[in-house]
Amino acid sequence: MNLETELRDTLERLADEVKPANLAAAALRRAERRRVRRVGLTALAAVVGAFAVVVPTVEGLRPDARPPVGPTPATSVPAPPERTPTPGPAFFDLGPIELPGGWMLGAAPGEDGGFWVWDRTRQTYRQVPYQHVYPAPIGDYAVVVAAGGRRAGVLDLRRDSVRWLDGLVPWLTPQWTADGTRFLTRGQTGSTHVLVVTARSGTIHEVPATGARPDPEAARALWMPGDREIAVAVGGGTWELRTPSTGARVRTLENLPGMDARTDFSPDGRWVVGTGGGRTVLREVSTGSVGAALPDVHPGRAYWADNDRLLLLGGQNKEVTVVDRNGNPVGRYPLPAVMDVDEEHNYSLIRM
Amino acid sequence: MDDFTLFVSQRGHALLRAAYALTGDQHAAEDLVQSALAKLAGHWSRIDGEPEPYVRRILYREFVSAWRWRRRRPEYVTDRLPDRAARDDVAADTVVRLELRRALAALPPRQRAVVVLRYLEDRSEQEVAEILGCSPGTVGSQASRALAKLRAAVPATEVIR
Repeated sequence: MNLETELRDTLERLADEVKPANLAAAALRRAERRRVRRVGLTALAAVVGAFAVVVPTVEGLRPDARPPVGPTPATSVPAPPERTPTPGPAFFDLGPIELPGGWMLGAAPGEDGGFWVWDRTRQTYRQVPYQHVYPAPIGDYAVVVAAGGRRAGVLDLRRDSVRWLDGLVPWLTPQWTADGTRFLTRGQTGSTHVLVVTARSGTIHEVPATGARPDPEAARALWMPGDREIAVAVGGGTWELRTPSTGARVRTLENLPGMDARTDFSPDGRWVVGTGGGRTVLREVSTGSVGAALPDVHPGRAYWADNDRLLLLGGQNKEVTVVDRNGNPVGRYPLPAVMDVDEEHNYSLIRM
Repeated sequence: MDDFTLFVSQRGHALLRAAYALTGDQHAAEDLVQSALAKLAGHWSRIDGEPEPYVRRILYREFVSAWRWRRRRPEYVTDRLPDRAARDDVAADTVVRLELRRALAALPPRQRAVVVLRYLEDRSEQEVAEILGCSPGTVGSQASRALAKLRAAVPATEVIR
Protein backbone atom coordinates (compact mmCIF):
# COMPACT_ATOMS: atom_id res chain seq x y z
CA MET A 1 0.00 0.00 0.00
CA ASN A 2 1.59 3.26 -1.13
CA LEU A 3 1.51 6.12 1.36
CA GLU A 4 1.44 8.93 -1.16
CA THR A 5 -1.42 7.33 -3.08
CA GLU A 6 -3.39 6.76 0.10
CA LEU A 7 -2.62 10.29 1.22
CA ARG A 8 -3.96 11.83 -1.98
CA ASP A 9 -7.07 9.68 -1.76
CA THR A 10 -7.62 10.54 1.89
CA LEU A 11 -7.23 14.26 1.28
CA GLU A 12 -9.63 14.17 -1.66
CA ARG A 13 -12.26 12.36 0.37
CA LEU A 14 -11.74 14.76 3.25
CA ALA A 15 -12.04 17.84 1.07
CA ASP A 16 -15.18 16.45 -0.57
CA GLU A 17 -16.92 16.42 2.79
CA VAL A 18 -17.14 20.20 2.98
CA LYS A 19 -20.58 21.70 2.46
CA PRO A 20 -21.04 24.69 0.12
CA ALA A 21 -21.27 28.08 1.81
CA ASN A 22 -22.24 31.60 0.86
CA LEU A 23 -18.78 33.11 1.05
CA ALA A 24 -18.95 36.38 -0.88
CA ALA A 25 -21.55 38.14 1.23
CA ALA A 26 -19.93 37.10 4.50
CA ALA A 27 -16.48 38.16 3.25
CA LEU A 28 -17.75 41.56 2.17
CA ARG A 29 -19.41 42.12 5.53
CA ARG A 30 -16.19 41.17 7.27
CA ALA A 31 -14.18 43.47 5.01
CA GLU A 32 -16.50 46.35 5.85
CA ARG A 33 -16.18 45.66 9.57
CA ARG A 34 -12.39 45.72 9.25
CA ARG A 35 -12.54 49.00 7.37
CA VAL A 36 -14.76 50.61 9.98
CA ARG A 37 -12.55 49.31 12.77
CA ARG A 38 -9.43 50.72 11.07
CA VAL A 39 -11.00 54.14 10.71
CA GLY A 40 -12.03 54.06 14.35
CA LEU A 41 -8.59 53.00 15.58
CA THR A 42 -6.89 55.70 13.54
CA ALA A 43 -9.18 58.33 14.99
CA LEU A 44 -8.69 56.99 18.53
CA ALA A 45 -4.93 56.87 18.10
CA ALA A 46 -4.87 60.48 16.98
CA VAL A 47 -6.51 61.43 20.25
CA VAL A 48 -4.51 59.21 22.58
CA GLY A 49 -1.14 59.82 20.99
CA ALA A 50 2.02 57.66 21.05
CA PHE A 51 2.87 55.60 24.10
CA ALA A 52 5.09 52.77 25.21
CA VAL A 53 4.46 50.74 28.31
CA VAL A 54 7.03 48.71 30.19
CA VAL A 55 5.56 45.79 32.09
CA PRO A 56 8.19 44.22 34.30
CA THR A 57 7.73 40.57 35.20
CA VAL A 58 7.51 41.05 38.92
CA GLU A 59 6.84 37.87 40.85
CA GLY A 60 3.17 37.67 41.61
CA LEU A 61 2.26 39.90 38.69
CA ARG A 62 0.09 38.00 36.23
CA PRO A 63 1.89 37.65 32.88
CA ASP A 64 -1.03 39.15 31.00
CA ALA A 65 -1.65 41.97 33.45
CA ARG A 66 -1.07 45.37 31.89
CA PRO A 67 -1.43 48.86 33.23
CA PRO A 68 -4.48 50.70 31.93
CA VAL A 69 -4.04 52.36 28.57
CA GLY A 70 -3.09 55.95 28.99
CA PRO A 71 -0.55 58.59 28.15
CA THR A 72 1.51 58.16 31.35
CA PRO A 73 3.60 54.98 31.25
CA ALA A 74 6.40 53.92 33.59
CA THR A 75 8.93 55.82 31.45
CA SER A 76 8.43 59.29 30.07
CA VAL A 77 7.32 59.48 26.46
CA PRO A 78 8.14 62.39 24.20
CA ALA A 79 5.30 64.17 22.46
CA PRO A 80 4.81 63.22 18.81
CA PRO A 81 6.77 65.49 16.48
CA GLU A 82 5.07 68.07 14.30
CA ARG A 83 4.46 66.49 10.91
CA THR A 84 3.53 67.83 7.54
CA PRO A 85 0.55 66.17 5.87
CA THR A 86 1.41 62.75 4.52
CA PRO A 87 0.85 61.88 0.88
CA GLY A 88 -1.40 58.91 1.63
CA PRO A 89 -3.23 57.13 4.42
CA ALA A 90 -1.15 56.65 7.58
CA PHE A 91 -0.72 53.29 9.28
CA PHE A 92 -1.63 54.94 12.49
CA ASP A 93 -1.00 58.37 13.83
CA LEU A 94 1.10 57.31 16.78
CA GLY A 95 4.53 58.48 15.72
CA PRO A 96 7.53 56.16 15.85
CA ILE A 97 7.10 53.00 17.90
CA GLU A 98 10.25 53.25 20.01
CA LEU A 99 11.97 50.33 21.69
CA PRO A 100 15.00 50.02 23.98
CA GLY A 101 18.51 50.32 22.65
CA GLY A 102 17.66 52.93 20.03
CA TRP A 103 15.48 50.57 17.99
CA MET A 104 12.05 51.29 16.57
CA LEU A 105 9.45 49.49 14.50
CA GLY A 106 10.61 49.90 10.90
CA ALA A 107 8.09 48.00 8.82
CA ALA A 108 5.11 45.77 9.44
CA PRO A 109 2.16 44.25 7.61
CA GLY A 110 -1.22 45.73 8.38
CA GLU A 111 -4.42 43.84 8.97
CA ASP A 112 -5.77 45.31 5.74
CA GLY A 113 -3.21 43.30 3.78
CA GLY A 114 -0.96 46.28 3.02
CA PHE A 115 2.60 46.82 4.22
CA TRP A 116 3.59 49.82 6.28
CA VAL A 117 7.08 51.30 6.53
CA TRP A 118 8.56 54.17 8.53
CA ASP A 119 9.37 57.09 6.25
CA ARG A 120 12.18 59.13 7.81
CA THR A 121 11.60 62.09 5.50
CA ARG A 122 7.91 62.35 6.22
CA GLN A 123 8.27 61.12 9.83
CA THR A 124 5.31 58.81 9.61
CA TYR A 125 4.42 55.24 8.76
CA ARG A 126 3.05 54.98 5.26
CA GLN A 127 1.58 52.18 3.23
CA VAL A 128 3.44 50.73 0.27
CA PRO A 129 2.07 48.27 -2.30
CA TYR A 130 4.49 45.42 -1.74
CA GLN A 131 4.25 41.93 -0.35
CA HIS A 132 7.27 42.30 1.91
CA VAL A 133 9.39 45.25 2.98
CA TYR A 134 12.84 44.99 4.57
CA PRO A 135 14.01 48.47 5.51
CA ALA A 136 17.67 49.26 5.99
CA PRO A 137 18.58 49.88 9.65
CA ILE A 138 19.41 53.49 8.83
CA GLY A 139 18.79 55.62 5.75
CA ASP A 140 16.00 55.66 3.21
CA TYR A 141 16.32 52.34 1.40
CA ALA A 142 14.30 49.18 1.72
CA VAL A 143 14.30 45.88 -0.12
CA VAL A 144 10.80 45.20 -1.37
CA VAL A 145 9.13 42.14 -2.83
CA ALA A 146 6.39 42.73 -5.37
CA ALA A 147 2.86 41.51 -4.81
CA GLY A 148 2.92 38.04 -6.27
CA GLY A 149 6.33 37.38 -4.80
CA ARG A 150 8.13 36.97 -8.10
CA ARG A 151 10.56 39.87 -8.04
CA ALA A 152 12.49 42.00 -5.60
CA GLY A 153 14.01 45.45 -5.78
CA VAL A 154 15.21 48.46 -3.83
CA LEU A 155 12.79 51.17 -2.75
CA ASP A 156 14.08 54.69 -2.20
CA LEU A 157 11.65 56.04 0.35
CA ARG A 158 12.86 59.61 0.00
CA ARG A 159 12.26 59.70 -3.76
CA ASP A 160 9.41 57.16 -3.65
CA SER A 161 10.96 55.19 -6.49
CA VAL A 162 11.78 51.51 -6.83
CA ARG A 163 14.49 49.80 -8.85
CA TRP A 164 13.59 46.19 -9.66
CA LEU A 165 16.56 43.82 -9.79
CA ASP A 166 16.82 40.59 -11.73
CA GLY A 167 18.45 37.55 -10.25
CA LEU A 168 17.43 38.04 -6.64
CA VAL A 169 15.64 35.28 -4.80
CA PRO A 170 12.49 37.06 -3.55
CA TRP A 171 11.84 34.81 -0.59
CA LEU A 172 15.21 35.25 1.09
CA THR A 173 15.42 37.87 3.83
CA PRO A 174 18.12 40.33 2.78
CA GLN A 175 20.93 41.08 5.19
CA TRP A 176 21.62 44.81 5.43
CA THR A 177 24.90 46.37 6.49
CA ALA A 178 24.71 48.51 9.60
CA ASP A 179 25.08 51.69 7.52
CA GLY A 180 22.19 50.74 5.24
CA THR A 181 24.18 51.05 2.03
CA ARG A 182 24.47 47.40 0.95
CA PHE A 183 22.66 44.18 1.47
CA LEU A 184 23.46 40.52 1.11
CA THR A 185 21.36 37.90 -0.57
CA ARG A 186 21.76 34.76 -2.61
CA GLY A 187 21.34 34.02 -6.26
CA GLN A 188 18.99 31.49 -7.74
CA THR A 189 18.88 27.97 -6.44
CA GLY A 190 21.93 26.01 -7.51
CA SER A 191 24.30 28.96 -7.35
CA THR A 192 27.04 29.09 -4.74
CA HIS A 193 27.49 32.83 -5.22
CA VAL A 194 26.62 35.34 -2.58
CA LEU A 195 25.28 38.62 -3.92
CA VAL A 196 26.27 41.97 -2.46
CA VAL A 197 23.91 44.67 -3.71
CA THR A 198 24.63 48.38 -3.44
CA ALA A 199 21.34 50.04 -2.64
CA ARG A 200 21.99 53.40 -4.27
CA SER A 201 23.06 52.11 -7.67
CA GLY A 202 21.50 48.65 -7.76
CA THR A 203 24.90 47.20 -8.61
CA ILE A 204 25.09 43.49 -7.89
CA HIS A 205 28.49 42.05 -7.02
CA GLU A 206 28.79 38.28 -7.05
CA VAL A 207 31.05 36.95 -4.34
CA PRO A 208 32.33 33.48 -5.06
CA ALA A 209 31.71 31.20 -2.11
CA THR A 210 33.47 28.11 -3.31
CA GLY A 211 32.98 25.29 -0.88
CA ALA A 212 29.65 26.61 0.29
CA ARG A 213 26.64 24.45 -0.33
CA PRO A 214 24.46 25.59 -3.25
CA ASP A 215 21.17 25.22 -1.43
CA PRO A 216 20.19 28.76 -0.32
CA GLU A 217 18.28 27.29 2.59
CA ALA A 218 21.24 25.34 3.92
CA ALA A 219 24.00 27.81 3.04
CA ARG A 220 23.00 31.06 4.68
CA ALA A 221 25.13 34.15 4.38
CA LEU A 222 25.24 37.11 6.73
CA TRP A 223 27.39 40.09 7.53
CA MET A 224 29.75 39.77 10.44
CA PRO A 225 29.86 42.69 12.91
CA GLY A 226 31.78 45.50 11.28
CA ASP A 227 30.47 44.52 7.82
CA ARG A 228 33.97 43.69 6.57
CA GLU A 229 33.43 39.95 6.35
CA ILE A 230 30.65 37.75 5.09
CA ALA A 231 29.91 34.56 6.98
CA VAL A 232 28.83 31.72 4.71
CA ALA A 233 27.42 28.57 6.26
CA VAL A 234 29.01 25.32 5.13
CA GLY A 235 27.02 23.05 7.40
CA GLY A 236 27.26 21.64 10.88
CA GLY A 237 27.52 25.05 12.53
CA THR A 238 30.69 25.92 10.63
CA TRP A 239 30.98 29.25 8.88
CA GLU A 240 33.57 30.43 6.39
CA LEU A 241 34.32 34.13 6.73
CA ARG A 242 35.11 35.71 3.38
CA THR A 243 35.92 39.16 2.10
CA PRO A 244 33.02 40.74 0.20
CA SER A 245 35.26 42.01 -2.59
CA THR A 246 36.98 38.81 -3.69
CA GLY A 247 35.34 36.05 -1.69
CA ALA A 248 38.72 35.07 -0.31
CA ARG A 249 38.42 32.97 2.79
CA VAL A 250 39.73 34.76 5.85
CA ARG A 251 38.96 32.42 8.71
CA THR A 252 36.49 29.87 9.98
CA LEU A 253 34.05 29.87 12.87
CA GLU A 254 32.87 26.59 14.24
CA ASN A 255 30.19 25.29 16.51
CA LEU A 256 27.76 28.13 15.83
CA PRO A 257 24.66 26.53 14.35
CA GLY A 258 21.54 28.54 13.66
CA MET A 259 22.96 32.06 13.26
CA ASP A 260 20.72 33.98 10.93
CA ALA A 261 21.57 37.70 10.87
CA ARG A 262 24.18 40.24 11.93
CA THR A 263 21.73 41.48 14.53
CA ASP A 264 22.15 38.12 16.28
CA PHE A 265 25.56 39.32 17.55
CA SER A 266 25.86 41.27 20.81
CA PRO A 267 27.35 44.77 20.44
CA ASP A 268 30.63 43.59 21.98
CA GLY A 269 30.73 40.61 19.61
CA ARG A 270 31.01 38.13 22.43
CA TRP A 271 27.61 36.42 22.15
CA VAL A 272 25.44 35.36 19.24
CA VAL A 273 21.91 34.01 18.98
CA GLY A 274 21.88 30.51 17.53
CA THR A 275 20.40 27.12 18.12
CA GLY A 276 21.19 24.12 20.26
CA GLY A 277 19.25 21.10 21.44
CA GLY A 278 16.25 22.16 19.38
CA ARG A 279 16.05 25.52 21.12
CA THR A 280 17.18 29.04 20.44
CA VAL A 281 20.17 29.75 22.66
CA LEU A 282 22.98 32.20 23.20
CA ARG A 283 26.40 30.93 22.18
CA GLU A 284 29.79 32.32 22.97
CA VAL A 285 31.29 33.29 19.63
CA SER A 286 34.88 32.33 20.42
CA THR A 287 34.12 28.82 21.69
CA GLY A 288 30.59 27.99 20.58
CA SER A 289 29.71 27.06 24.13
CA VAL A 290 26.03 27.37 24.95
CA GLY A 291 24.71 30.04 27.27
CA ALA A 292 21.11 30.70 28.21
CA ALA A 293 18.10 29.51 26.25
CA LEU A 294 15.90 32.24 24.81
CA PRO A 295 12.14 31.95 24.95
CA ASP A 296 9.98 31.69 21.88
CA VAL A 297 12.16 33.29 19.22
CA HIS A 298 13.95 32.29 16.05
CA PRO A 299 17.49 33.46 15.32
CA GLY A 300 17.27 36.52 13.14
CA ARG A 301 14.35 37.74 15.21
CA ALA A 302 16.44 38.99 18.12
CA TYR A 303 17.91 42.47 18.36
CA TRP A 304 20.38 43.44 21.05
CA ALA A 305 19.40 46.53 23.03
CA ASP A 306 22.82 46.47 24.71
CA ASN A 307 25.30 43.81 25.83
CA ASP A 308 22.91 42.63 28.54
CA ARG A 309 19.45 42.76 26.97
CA LEU A 310 17.79 41.46 23.83
CA LEU A 311 14.55 42.40 22.11
CA LEU A 312 12.70 39.31 20.94
CA LEU A 313 10.25 39.57 18.07
CA GLY A 314 7.88 36.67 18.16
CA GLY A 315 5.35 34.85 20.22
CA GLN A 316 1.62 34.91 19.85
CA ASN A 317 0.99 38.36 21.28
CA LYS A 318 1.51 41.65 19.55
CA GLU A 319 4.46 42.64 21.64
CA VAL A 320 8.22 42.77 21.79
CA THR A 321 9.73 41.00 24.78
CA VAL A 322 12.91 42.24 26.41
CA VAL A 323 15.04 39.54 28.04
CA ASP A 324 18.35 39.59 29.86
CA ARG A 325 21.29 37.37 28.94
CA ASN A 326 19.92 34.66 31.18
CA GLY A 327 16.78 34.55 29.06
CA ASN A 328 14.61 36.09 31.78
CA PRO A 329 11.90 38.49 30.59
CA VAL A 330 12.48 41.97 31.96
CA GLY A 331 9.98 44.00 29.92
CA ARG A 332 7.28 43.94 27.27
CA TYR A 333 6.37 46.53 24.67
CA PRO A 334 2.98 46.33 22.97
CA LEU A 335 2.83 46.64 19.21
CA PRO A 336 0.06 48.47 17.33
CA ALA A 337 -3.29 46.77 17.28
CA VAL A 338 -3.62 47.32 13.55
CA MET A 339 -0.52 45.30 12.84
CA ASP A 340 -0.97 41.88 11.31
CA VAL A 341 1.22 39.59 13.35
CA ASP A 342 1.66 36.16 11.91
CA GLU A 343 3.99 33.26 12.49
CA GLU A 344 6.44 34.63 9.97
CA HIS A 345 6.77 37.73 12.12
CA ASN A 346 7.67 39.65 9.02
CA TYR A 347 8.03 42.95 10.73
CA SER A 348 11.42 44.48 11.35
CA LEU A 349 13.24 47.04 13.42
CA ILE A 350 15.38 49.96 12.35
CA ARG A 351 17.53 52.46 14.18
CA MET A 352 15.97 55.60 15.59
CA MET B 1 -22.57 40.81 -10.31
CA ASP B 2 -19.30 42.67 -9.52
CA ASP B 3 -15.90 41.18 -10.24
CA PHE B 4 -15.18 40.17 -6.67
CA THR B 5 -18.47 38.37 -6.20
CA LEU B 6 -18.02 36.66 -9.55
CA PHE B 7 -14.56 35.48 -8.53
CA VAL B 8 -15.87 34.09 -5.25
CA SER B 9 -18.75 32.32 -6.96
CA GLN B 10 -16.30 30.64 -9.35
CA ARG B 11 -13.41 29.80 -7.03
CA GLY B 12 -14.82 30.00 -3.53
CA HIS B 13 -15.68 26.34 -3.21
CA ALA B 14 -12.20 25.26 -4.30
CA LEU B 15 -10.78 27.46 -1.56
CA LEU B 16 -13.27 26.03 0.90
CA ARG B 17 -12.21 22.45 0.04
CA ALA B 18 -8.61 23.34 0.75
CA ALA B 19 -9.55 25.07 3.98
CA TYR B 20 -11.53 22.04 5.08
CA ALA B 21 -8.61 19.76 4.34
CA LEU B 22 -6.51 22.06 6.52
CA THR B 23 -8.89 22.48 9.42
CA GLY B 24 -11.16 19.44 9.32
CA ASP B 25 -14.08 21.54 10.46
CA GLN B 26 -16.83 23.22 8.43
CA HIS B 27 -17.08 26.31 10.60
CA ALA B 28 -13.32 26.75 10.88
CA ALA B 29 -12.94 26.28 7.12
CA GLU B 30 -15.59 28.90 6.36
CA ASP B 31 -14.03 31.26 8.88
CA LEU B 32 -10.60 30.82 7.33
CA VAL B 33 -11.83 31.38 3.79
CA GLN B 34 -13.98 34.37 4.73
CA SER B 35 -11.05 35.96 6.52
CA ALA B 36 -8.83 35.51 3.47
CA LEU B 37 -11.55 36.76 1.12
CA ALA B 38 -12.17 39.78 3.34
CA LYS B 39 -8.51 40.73 3.01
CA LEU B 40 -8.74 40.14 -0.73
CA ALA B 41 -11.79 42.39 -0.93
CA GLY B 42 -9.95 45.18 0.86
CA HIS B 43 -7.11 44.91 -1.62
CA TRP B 44 -9.16 44.08 -4.71
CA SER B 45 -8.46 47.22 -6.72
CA ARG B 46 -4.70 46.94 -6.12
CA ILE B 47 -4.21 43.30 -7.07
CA ASP B 48 -1.58 42.95 -9.76
CA GLY B 49 -2.54 39.92 -11.83
CA GLU B 50 -4.77 36.99 -10.94
CA PRO B 51 -6.48 37.20 -7.55
CA GLU B 52 -6.48 33.49 -6.81
CA PRO B 53 -2.75 33.15 -6.08
CA TYR B 54 -3.04 36.18 -3.83
CA VAL B 55 -5.95 34.85 -1.78
CA ARG B 56 -4.48 31.38 -1.66
CA ARG B 57 -1.31 32.79 -0.11
CA ILE B 58 -3.35 34.65 2.48
CA LEU B 59 -5.40 31.56 3.28
CA TYR B 60 -2.47 29.24 3.79
CA ARG B 61 -0.37 31.75 5.68
CA GLU B 62 -3.25 32.58 7.98
CA PHE B 63 -3.76 28.91 8.64
CA VAL B 64 -0.10 28.39 9.49
CA SER B 65 0.12 31.38 11.77
CA ALA B 66 -3.27 31.90 13.39
CA TRP B 67 -3.27 30.22 16.78
CA ARG B 68 -7.01 30.21 16.90
CA TRP B 69 -7.14 27.48 14.29
CA ARG B 70 -4.96 25.30 16.41
CA ARG B 71 -6.83 25.94 19.62
CA ARG B 72 -10.13 24.82 18.27
CA ARG B 73 -8.84 22.21 15.86
CA PRO B 74 -11.29 19.35 16.14
CA GLU B 75 -10.75 15.68 15.67
CA TYR B 76 -11.00 14.70 12.06
CA VAL B 77 -12.39 11.28 12.89
CA THR B 78 -14.30 9.40 15.52
CA ASP B 79 -13.06 6.27 17.20
CA ARG B 80 -15.82 4.17 15.73
CA LEU B 81 -15.16 2.07 12.69
CA PRO B 82 -17.87 1.81 10.04
CA ASP B 83 -20.30 -1.08 10.16
CA ARG B 84 -18.63 -2.84 7.23
CA ALA B 85 -15.47 -3.43 9.23
CA ALA B 86 -16.43 -7.07 9.58
CA ARG B 87 -14.85 -7.81 6.17
CA ASP B 88 -11.06 -7.80 6.59
CA ASP B 89 -10.11 -6.35 3.18
CA VAL B 90 -12.52 -3.42 3.45
CA ALA B 91 -11.66 -2.92 7.09
CA ALA B 92 -7.96 -2.68 6.28
CA ASP B 93 -8.47 0.15 3.79
CA THR B 94 -10.85 1.94 6.08
CA VAL B 95 -8.57 1.62 9.06
CA VAL B 96 -5.69 3.01 7.04
CA ARG B 97 -7.72 6.03 5.97
CA LEU B 98 -8.98 6.65 9.47
CA GLU B 99 -5.48 6.39 10.89
CA LEU B 100 -4.17 8.61 8.14
CA ARG B 101 -6.78 11.26 8.88
CA ARG B 102 -5.95 11.07 12.56
CA ALA B 103 -2.26 11.44 11.78
CA LEU B 104 -2.94 14.36 9.44
CA ALA B 105 -4.84 16.15 12.18
CA ALA B 106 -1.86 15.72 14.48
CA LEU B 107 0.62 17.35 12.09
CA PRO B 108 1.88 20.83 12.97
CA PRO B 109 0.15 23.52 10.88
CA ARG B 110 3.03 24.18 8.51
CA GLN B 111 3.54 20.50 7.75
CA ARG B 112 -0.18 20.05 7.22
CA ALA B 113 -0.24 23.03 4.87
CA VAL B 114 2.66 21.58 2.88
CA VAL B 115 0.93 18.18 2.66
CA VAL B 116 -2.36 19.70 1.49
CA LEU B 117 -0.61 21.85 -1.10
CA ARG B 118 1.53 18.99 -2.37
CA TYR B 119 -0.93 16.11 -2.29
CA LEU B 120 -4.35 17.69 -2.59
CA GLU B 121 -3.53 20.64 -4.80
CA ASP B 122 -0.56 18.98 -6.60
CA ARG B 123 1.66 22.03 -6.27
CA SER B 124 5.37 21.90 -6.95
CA GLU B 125 7.88 22.62 -4.22
CA GLN B 126 8.58 26.02 -5.79
CA GLU B 127 4.86 26.86 -5.89
CA VAL B 128 4.40 25.75 -2.30
CA ALA B 129 7.37 27.88 -1.28
CA GLU B 130 5.87 30.95 -2.94
CA ILE B 131 2.48 30.37 -1.33
CA LEU B 132 3.87 29.85 2.15
CA GLY B 133 6.62 32.44 1.84
CA CYS B 134 9.49 30.10 2.60
CA SER B 135 12.25 28.42 0.66
CA PRO B 136 11.83 25.29 -1.46
CA GLY B 137 14.34 23.65 0.85
CA THR B 138 12.06 24.28 3.79
CA VAL B 139 9.15 22.87 1.83
CA GLY B 140 11.13 19.74 1.09
CA SER B 141 12.17 19.23 4.68
CA GLN B 142 8.68 19.89 6.01
CA ALA B 143 7.22 17.41 3.52
CA SER B 144 9.78 14.79 4.47
CA ARG B 145 9.05 15.19 8.16
CA ALA B 146 5.33 15.06 7.57
CA LEU B 147 5.57 11.89 5.52
CA ALA B 148 7.80 10.32 8.13
CA LYS B 149 5.21 11.03 10.81
CA LEU B 150 2.40 9.73 8.65
CA ARG B 151 4.37 6.60 7.80
CA ALA B 152 5.07 6.00 11.48
CA ALA B 153 1.39 6.43 12.30
CA VAL B 154 0.24 4.18 9.47
CA PRO B 155 2.83 1.44 9.14
CA ALA B 156 0.73 -0.47 6.63
CA THR B 157 1.80 2.05 4.01
CA GLU B 158 5.22 2.72 2.57
CA VAL B 159 6.62 5.59 0.57
CA ILE B 160 7.67 4.53 -2.89
CA ARG B 161 10.19 7.00 -4.27
